[in-house]
Amino acid sequence: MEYGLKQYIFVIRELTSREIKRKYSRSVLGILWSVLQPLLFMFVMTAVFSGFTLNDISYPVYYLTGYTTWSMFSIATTTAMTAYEDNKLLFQKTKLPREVFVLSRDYTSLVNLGFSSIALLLVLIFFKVQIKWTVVVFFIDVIFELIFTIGISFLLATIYVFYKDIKFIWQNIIVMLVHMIAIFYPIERYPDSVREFTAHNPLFIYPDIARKSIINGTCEVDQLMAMFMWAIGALLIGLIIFKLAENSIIKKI
Amino acid sequence: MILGNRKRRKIAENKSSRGNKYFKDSFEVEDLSELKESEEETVISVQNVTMKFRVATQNVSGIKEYFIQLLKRNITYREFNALDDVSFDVYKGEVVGIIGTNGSGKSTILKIVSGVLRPTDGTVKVDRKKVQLLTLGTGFDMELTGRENVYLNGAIIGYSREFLDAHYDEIVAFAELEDFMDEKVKNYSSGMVSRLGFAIATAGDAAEILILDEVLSVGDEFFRKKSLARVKEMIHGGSTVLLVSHSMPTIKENCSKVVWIEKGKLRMIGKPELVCKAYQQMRETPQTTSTKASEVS
Repeated sequence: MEYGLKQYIFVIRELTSREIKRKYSRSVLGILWSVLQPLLFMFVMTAVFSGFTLNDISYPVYYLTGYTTWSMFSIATTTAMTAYEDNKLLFQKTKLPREVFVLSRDYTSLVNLGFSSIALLLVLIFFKVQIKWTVVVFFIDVIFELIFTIGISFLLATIYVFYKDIKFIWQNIIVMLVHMIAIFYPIERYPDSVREFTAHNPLFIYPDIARKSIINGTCEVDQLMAMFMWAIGALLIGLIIFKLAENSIIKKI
Repeated sequence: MILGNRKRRKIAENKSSRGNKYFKDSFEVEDLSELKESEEETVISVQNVTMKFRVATQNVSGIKEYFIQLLKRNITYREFNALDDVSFDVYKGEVVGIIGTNGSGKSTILKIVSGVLRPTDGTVKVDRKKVQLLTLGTGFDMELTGRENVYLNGAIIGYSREFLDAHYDEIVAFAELEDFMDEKVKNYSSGMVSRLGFAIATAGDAAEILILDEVLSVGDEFFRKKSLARVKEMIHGGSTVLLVSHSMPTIKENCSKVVWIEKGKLRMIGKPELVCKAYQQMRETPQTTSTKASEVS
């Protein structure tokens, strides 16, 4: 049996629908949680941080745009990390291309972003945000963020096979990152020493492009370049490392 | 006739080289089209295959622990030969049984032939595009319903969505699970799970080289008969079959040749009656094995 591109996509979609069904299999509201959860977070964050925004932007819109784009990355990387380990049996007993396990976790996260975007859309309508043509940039931004995420996912998944500690290290990095990338309040409020560093952080760039394109209706060429470079770079590094380690992964697992 | 066969293979290979982009075999598959033209065509050729696993004597599962052990110079590895210099040939149309006690390397050889594992040493010549590995219920998810599992498992085996749509009823009917398809698989009995697994695995047209890993000892007596008939049908369709089973009657009834692997080493190849007899004798002599006589059927 061989796997053409069509089959490859079919397998990823089946694996993805399994992930989603599994995740919500015991809950009453099911996939609706993907819409509710960001909204609930938004209420809390608005109550605590709303004083920090710059005057012209309403805080819930600011927060939710950044948070949904960021959470695609954080959810995808943490779930994709254990993809090989969780699919041990399939890994050993089938000839599936090994990449599908990581890719299906990333794709699951993208689907999740789709549902969270419903929440975002509701909030945008509620606050009567004027959407301009730059919203197109938002979709491009998401695609490149996905590519970036895939690269990091391969890297983490490969490391995880050999050193399980990475799981805990990554959990901490995620928590650190979320406070360093201006999700909760704007970068203008950051101390100067941190600001420079944050501005070059790819995980600040992706949510920031999303915010600018949706809320402000602007986009900056410099940032778009950075978006592109980070994505391609991360993907290449992730794939190369995975390919180099592939045989050892099969043996180790 | 042979020429016709080769032509077809060439075409098949051309086709698959495109698909191969997405499934990169991590090791070289030697081309069979170079094969000598003989009456009995070799389909699988296993030459001096050795499979070594490096087992760390301390199980280190973290960076911190790794460094501690490294500083203590405690990281030592034990080489473990799952397979040791195993060679055999399988000719077209043969049904070859592989026997051996648990942990003697039977599954490892199947994985190497099907291309899941890469041998440490030696070569395997087989056209991997034609190989189909049948295992039961790999990728079944207990949280999903029977229906969802048909699609998930089918996708993993390599069936397209159209194929699954067309054959869905057939699969369900063969597994005799018409009333349970919307039930979660975790509520199935183990027999039902294996029946569904068998039905999905054998739904497609038989590949030219079939590898069966313990699929014939499934379900109750009636289902076993039915599944045996299905496998025989596939065998008569001209497939070459490699099959692992613990049941001696199954082996004796179906195989034209038996390969006995014991503790990673090739013990015997030959006629089923002879090899099975020798195998059973070995199991009955107490000094070579600790198996109790009562466990030997």
